[in-house]
Amino acid sequence: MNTTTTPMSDSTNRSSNASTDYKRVMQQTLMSFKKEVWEYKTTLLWLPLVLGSVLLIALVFEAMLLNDYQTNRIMELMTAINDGKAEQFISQGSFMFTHALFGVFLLSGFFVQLRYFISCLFDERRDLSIYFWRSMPVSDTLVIGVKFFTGAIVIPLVFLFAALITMIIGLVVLSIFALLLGLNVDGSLWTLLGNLDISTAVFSMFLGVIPAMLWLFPIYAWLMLASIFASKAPFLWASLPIVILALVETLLLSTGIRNSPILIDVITSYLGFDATDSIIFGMQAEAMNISGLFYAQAMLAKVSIGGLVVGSLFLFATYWLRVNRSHS
Amino acid sequence: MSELISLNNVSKSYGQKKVLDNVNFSVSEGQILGLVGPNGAGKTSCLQALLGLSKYEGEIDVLGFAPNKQRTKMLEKVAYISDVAVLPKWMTVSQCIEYVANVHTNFDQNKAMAFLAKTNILQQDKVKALSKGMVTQLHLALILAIDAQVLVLDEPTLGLDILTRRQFYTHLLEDFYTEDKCIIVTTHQIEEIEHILTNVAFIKDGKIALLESTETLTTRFRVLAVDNEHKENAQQLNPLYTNSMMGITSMLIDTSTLPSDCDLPAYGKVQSPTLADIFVGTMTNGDSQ
Repeated sequence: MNTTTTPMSDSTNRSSNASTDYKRVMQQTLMSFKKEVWEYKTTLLWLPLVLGSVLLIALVFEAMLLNDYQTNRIMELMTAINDGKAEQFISQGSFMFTHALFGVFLLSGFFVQLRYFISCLFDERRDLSIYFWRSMPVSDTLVIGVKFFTGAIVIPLVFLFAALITMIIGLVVLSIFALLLGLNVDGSLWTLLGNLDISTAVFSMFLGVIPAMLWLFPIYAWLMLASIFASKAPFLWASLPIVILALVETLLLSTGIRNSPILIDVITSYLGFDATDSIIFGMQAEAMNISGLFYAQAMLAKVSIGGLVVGSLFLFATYWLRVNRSHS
Repeated sequence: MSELISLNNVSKSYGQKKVLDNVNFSVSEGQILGLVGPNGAGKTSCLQALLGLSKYEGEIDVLGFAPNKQRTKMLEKVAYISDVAVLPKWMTVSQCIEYVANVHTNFDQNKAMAFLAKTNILQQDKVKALSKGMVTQLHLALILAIDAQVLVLDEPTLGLDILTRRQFYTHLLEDFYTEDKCIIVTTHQIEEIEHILTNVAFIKDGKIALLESTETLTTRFRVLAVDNEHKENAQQLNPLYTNSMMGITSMLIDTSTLPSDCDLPAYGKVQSPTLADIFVGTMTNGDSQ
């Protein structure tokens, strides 16, 4: 049998191997995301479901307990809509309704994110399952990457989708009640639903997920570092160093050794929006009539090279500790 | 027999404490090596280094891979059970199987299912709801379904009852072991696995105190039972270990240190030692290579 290999067959083999490697890594990546969802099923699936259900139940109760004067007000409003005299109300109402609903979900999602980042690398060491995970041919880079993107992207997306579904069901429920109560004055309900400007705000919030990840990258990476570093109480490891540094700085300020706080300034200016931020002026100017890029632009304005470098250092330290530290 | 694993001058320290001190050994196809030592001797550190789970100095080669640099690639052909308690408690049995099937290229899902079908473990069971013995069976099902060439077991039967322990090793031999594979196992219960071991390495204070095939060991060492009359003469044979009971003194003798014309039966009754006897003798007598 002729076993001589030609440059062409070498190249074909390399290409085939690369394709197999790529498929395997993709399969491992998808499985790793699935595993994270399994592990955090309660907070990733049940919490948004419960939150949405509670809000919808509250909405139904509110609709069922409408007083006569409230029904009359709504009737007047529907007539105004029909006469084309309630454009501002529709615009403001859309804005308030969308932001109130999504705000509840995003805030809950943010706390879930913090909890996830704090525990994602700590829990597997506490229950020693890290030895099982590390006995599988999955690279530490992939594990750290999947955990980071689960916290930074998957969790906000889950909560945004839950908010979106809740909003759609909520609108359907409200429409049913409006029809049942005879509030659809000459088709004004359809006019209202047709003119609701919800899509722009929703699109804007979905589009903000990646800029938010870039903006909060140092925070997420710091929490992951605390999660891999702490033997006990990772939350304390995440918060105490910053609290202690802030206290030391405050002490130095009070003794006159320093004139202005650096750490506190850096943290507050990085995380907070103040009046000097042009984006705030933009928001004030366009009050309740935001563009689809509004949140993405607002958060991208807060992203800095320094923040990305610090976040990368924290994330690399997290990776290094997982690879080199004895976890026994 | 080709060499599958080799360790050359492997050392590891935690601060000032040296937990591995120039460890050298190799394991070839068909060998089942027992790495035996007291608590804190360095067994787990040795296995962790071998699997690329912690940093080390020196050279380790596992199937042509350097564990500290090519751990992921190496683990496609190396299976590992560190301790029965390490399966994630929140997982269900079916999730465990699905996970391994998707991340391990050499995993045979049907084989794992067939193994589990012989047990009382159900697919929907959560790991935390299983008894310790059942978790071991599940872990073993996952590992045995991997077409690995090297199997590393670190105290795999710790805390299990004797029936489960025996069942574990029976499955290991029947469902995993073939002449082209090798197994490294650490355990405290050496007497339970001595019949399956082909080679033994005793480790003490991070150093390999004794490394031999079990066949050589049982011919090299002898237990000499002497009465009080011959006790003093027998002491001149430099026994590794002496134990007196009811007027009879048992001595573990390393025949490789005796002159070739030494007539052991002249001192008393000569018996073959168990690995546990040799282990105790080696550990209590200092280094013996």
